[in-house]
Amino acid sequence: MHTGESVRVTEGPFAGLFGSLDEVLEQRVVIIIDLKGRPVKVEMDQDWVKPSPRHKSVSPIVPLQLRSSA
Amino acid sequence: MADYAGKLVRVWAFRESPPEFQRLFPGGGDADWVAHAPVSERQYAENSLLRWRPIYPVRSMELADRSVVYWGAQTEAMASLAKWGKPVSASPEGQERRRGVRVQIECPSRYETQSEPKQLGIGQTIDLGSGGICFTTESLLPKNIEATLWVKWPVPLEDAVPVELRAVGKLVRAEAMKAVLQMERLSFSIEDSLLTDGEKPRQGGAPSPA
Repeated sequence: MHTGESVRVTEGPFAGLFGSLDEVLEQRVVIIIDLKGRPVKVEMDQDWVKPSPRHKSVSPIVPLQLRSSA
Repeated sequence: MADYAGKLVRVWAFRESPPEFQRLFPGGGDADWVAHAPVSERQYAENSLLRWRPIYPVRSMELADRSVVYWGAQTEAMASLAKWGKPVSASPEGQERRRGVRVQIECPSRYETQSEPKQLGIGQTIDLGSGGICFTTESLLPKNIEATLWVKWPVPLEDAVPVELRAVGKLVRAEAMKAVLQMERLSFSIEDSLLTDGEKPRQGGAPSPA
């Protein structure tokens, strides 16, 4: 798994929730989960998360560049 | 005590949690979890941590810095189930070897054996106990092999969110159309299975979604 990848929590109290991988530590990972509309960093066992293609991870906000027509 | 300040919510399997947290909950078991939420994240994390209470007890303890440690007693889920199913009595011949709570309740299930050739199938539970689950099978499964069983739990979370039990263990009994899984690990998850949504437990008066 790599940083930014979409994951699903399979065990523990957040089981069933989706998030994106923020950091990979030794045996542990930090994922960002949307809780009550706010992104929260949660650290848990690496075995408790699985890659998930079903979830759209939060993309960094890129300013939209508008071009005026000449 | 280690420094748990910051904005990180942390969760562990009970036995892997910091010893000072384990000491807060002396009854903790292998299948249980422990979580720590710093004060800044508490209001966001708490809902998700406490939502399991219809399934198993979740207890909490506030620390001096107002952060909170939570203990999810997944091992007590079977005892909590007792009120929804018909209790199974011990055999009159005294051959009943299983201990603890055991209830007769039919829940949709699916299974997968771990040794090759893997066998997959669907069925339903016959009875569930704190040590094992008796369930129907599509064929005769080999005995003494590891298997995973998913059970559509008869009690949903609030807002009727369906829950699934994943139990891993050994098949200690196997007959033509049924088997008994002795649970070594269990975990609950929001249901994400091949079970049909319309299926409901047919016995035991499980609560209907509100």
